[in-house]
Amino acid sequence: MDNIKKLLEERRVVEAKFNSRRHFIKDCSLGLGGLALGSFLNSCSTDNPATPAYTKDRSLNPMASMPAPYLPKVKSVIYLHMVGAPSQLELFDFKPELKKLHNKPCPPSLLDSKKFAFIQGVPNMLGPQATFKREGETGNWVSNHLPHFKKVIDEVAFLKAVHTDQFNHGPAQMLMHTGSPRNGRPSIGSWVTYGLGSVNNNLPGFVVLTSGGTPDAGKSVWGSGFLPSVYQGVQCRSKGDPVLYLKDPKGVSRNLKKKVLASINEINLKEYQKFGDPEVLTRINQYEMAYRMQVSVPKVMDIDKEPDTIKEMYGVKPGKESFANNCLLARKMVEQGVRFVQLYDWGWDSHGSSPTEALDSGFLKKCKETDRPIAALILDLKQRGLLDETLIVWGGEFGRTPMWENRLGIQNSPGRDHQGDAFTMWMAGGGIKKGAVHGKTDEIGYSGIEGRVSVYDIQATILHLLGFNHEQFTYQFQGRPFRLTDVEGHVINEILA
Amino acid sequence: MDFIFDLIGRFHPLIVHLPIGFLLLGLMMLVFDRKDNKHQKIIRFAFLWGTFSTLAAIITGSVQYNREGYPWEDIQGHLILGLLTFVISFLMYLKLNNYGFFQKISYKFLGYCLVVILSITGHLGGNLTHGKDHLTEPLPDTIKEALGMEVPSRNLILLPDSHQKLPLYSGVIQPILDQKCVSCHNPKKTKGGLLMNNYKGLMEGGEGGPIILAPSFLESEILKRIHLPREEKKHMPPKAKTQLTKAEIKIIEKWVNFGAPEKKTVSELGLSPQLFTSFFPKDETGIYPDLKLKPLNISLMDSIKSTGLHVAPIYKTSPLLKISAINNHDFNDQNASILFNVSDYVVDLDLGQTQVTDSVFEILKKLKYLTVLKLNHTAITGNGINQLKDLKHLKQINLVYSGFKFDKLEKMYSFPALEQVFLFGTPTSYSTFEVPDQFQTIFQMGNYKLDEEIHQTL
Repeated sequence: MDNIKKLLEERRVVEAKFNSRRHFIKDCSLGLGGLALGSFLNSCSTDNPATPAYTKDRSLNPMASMPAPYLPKVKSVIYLHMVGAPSQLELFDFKPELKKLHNKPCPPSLLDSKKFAFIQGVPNMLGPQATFKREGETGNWVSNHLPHFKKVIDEVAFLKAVHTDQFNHGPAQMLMHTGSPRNGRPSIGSWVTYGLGSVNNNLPGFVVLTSGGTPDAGKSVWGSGFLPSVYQGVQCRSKGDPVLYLKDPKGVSRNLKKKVLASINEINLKEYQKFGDPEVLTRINQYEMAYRMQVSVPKVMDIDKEPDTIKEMYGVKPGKESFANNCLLARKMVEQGVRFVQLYDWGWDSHGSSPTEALDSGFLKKCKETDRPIAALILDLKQRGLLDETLIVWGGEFGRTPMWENRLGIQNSPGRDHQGDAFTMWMAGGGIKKGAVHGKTDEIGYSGIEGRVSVYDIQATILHLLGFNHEQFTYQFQGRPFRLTDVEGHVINEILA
Repeated sequence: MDFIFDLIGRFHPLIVHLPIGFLLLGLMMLVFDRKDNKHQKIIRFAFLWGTFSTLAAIITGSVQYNREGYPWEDIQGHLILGLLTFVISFLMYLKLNNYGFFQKISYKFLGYCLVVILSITGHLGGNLTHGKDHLTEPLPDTIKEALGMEVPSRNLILLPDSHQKLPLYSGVIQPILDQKCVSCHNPKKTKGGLLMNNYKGLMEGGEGGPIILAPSFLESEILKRIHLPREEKKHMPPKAKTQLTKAEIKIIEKWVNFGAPEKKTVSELGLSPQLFTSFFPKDETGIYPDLKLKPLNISLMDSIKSTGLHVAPIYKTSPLLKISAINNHDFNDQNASILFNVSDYVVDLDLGQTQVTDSVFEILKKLKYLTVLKLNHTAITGNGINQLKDLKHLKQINLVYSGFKFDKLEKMYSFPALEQVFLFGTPTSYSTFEVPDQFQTIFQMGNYKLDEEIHQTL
């Protein structure tokens, strides 16, 4: 036994001696050289991602407009995301059976192998905190919390059994907008601007407007992930400076700025010609875009000049940050050819644990804040002939439980926990079958039993309407093609006209 | 003893290879020996046997033609050229033996003739046994198109209205098999002893047994083979051939799982239309006319772009153009004359928020396939809009916030294809003018209102 130990020890010493200073230096030079070579060869990718097929025609302008691979049904998308996940059971998914179970203990079979964010033990059921009525010619259900919505209900196609596998806000929002619950993927607006560019040379192709606060997942929900960063969303504000850091500093004239930018861009262009890094192009483009936006953005963001009838219709609050302002801005942006307008309205997380989160107060306030502007947006687009070429998507990141949330075992004001297995979304606009209802949930709205669609299906459908086949729309990164819908997604033909 | 003849005929495919070999060898020797003249004996020997074996091939071939009922049209070329091969190789042999009369014909001439005729004869023979597309079939579609060959549509097309009434097997499954499987599994070429050209063949299976297994249908060989990774040798269709699409696989799977019924229709089996959507004909141009135009040349496109207009095809591979002045608000009637150059291509024109006036109709009337026209936020009043009445495809006109006057509205009543006119924000929309009932859905005035605040107070 000892002999063997000796033998191993000897081997170790010999090996250690063998790895001399010379070897270290030799290994270093080869290793570092290899690393350098790696970056020359564009890391581990077999293709050359510096000039992906889609940007080849774009030589120096990564935002140059590109035709869609297939005939698009819409030119623009307005995505209304209700951050925090609105309760489908108080808005569109009418469940009379649930009323009968109100405040009765939840059957244990519904809790088996389910994960909840806050519900503990056996909660009680919570009946619908709204009254429902069939509205419009189609006779689709809508609750009394959305009195204006009935005016546009016939324009809308409902998806009543959307499901997601995430039950916390951040990851669920990431999944909804980037196709992955983890960081690092491009958002849908980035994919769209990457694929189609921007028709308007003076405005960004992908604009983000928030009200109430930033989504839980942070700004990565409109990030560009591995796409060149020129495709990330540009956040515009309806209060104060429309775009932060866009104003010229005091004492700098627009002319001087122009000269400075021209010189900087010239240097950057040389840099790009030398190394071919698309991020340099991004930078050149950002400077030029920022310069043009100094004029164009204040103009498009100025809602004061709109006629009073329009302002009244949306219920705008000039000078304040509001969802109504953002809806009107979304229309103005689409009118000017902006491709993807993303609205986030924060504050829909109706747990019932505090008044602002309760279904009988905070939730009603959110309904009131959004109902009128959304109806106005649809009608305004319609009267301008823009509804047929715009897609409007409405939804949260998941749905809410039919159970009454009992955080820490206490039943507070009426509220519901996170629930991903079934929730309602709707779409309206170009290519959408007006008044369609796809999907059905069980008697208490807990699970989809018919026409279940996934988050990927929503994304596939949005891309389809913009003229993409979501399976063919890829970007080469780290040695393999990536797509928004990963390996999933089916176009929801049932709601397409 | 009749069978002797059949047998002799059947030797034709074997014997034909002899003259090809002998004669080519002889020709190669002729070239090889052209300076030294050392091997004349062997060359003569090659051509003697070449001639003989050609004769044998012709005889066996004619016997086969007689006994096995090939139509004359199919074999005439092969037979005549075969005879010609015989004649030329015989001439060559005579010349090699120095028969005075033939000295005038050069070796070169005879040699080239023989090579050409021999190759063509052989090729035509090959076409008879392996099919005419034997060599062209493996070519990629792009090359086929470049060669001007017809590329058969490989995919089944079903109609959304009628597909539910079709029997699943004969209306959907068999056409899929015909396109993707039958080229190797037919009575002529029966790989693995499996026939897939009819229901009986599918039920009988191949050398390895049945391909559809009752009662555990999902374990059937046909599905196993389809689902094997493409690289596997046993994967079907073989990896080099056109593969089944996902939708096709799904339907075949359903059919097999239903027990591979022969007669039941799609609706009897309760299959949802969604399974079939990928087989429906594609609506490629939507509201725009389906025109087959040559793509516009790039320099013309660039010259229009240089005026500040945004020009793009309606989708990547379409020749039809969408033109927009969104980046050039100074665009005016004079600039618009550039559109003459592309009058056949413009289907979607956005001149909204520009300086154009009523005289732009002079130009617009020449854009004969114009389908969507935007003149919103312009000084257009509608004078001369009747000039657009001959545009057979004009479906949408956007006049929002233009100066359009109501008395010009009736000029549009006779536009043949008109579907929507947006008039919100125009003097027309504020006037008391009544649009006749039948046009109410076309002329949309907007001015939608929402009720006063109706939310219950909190």
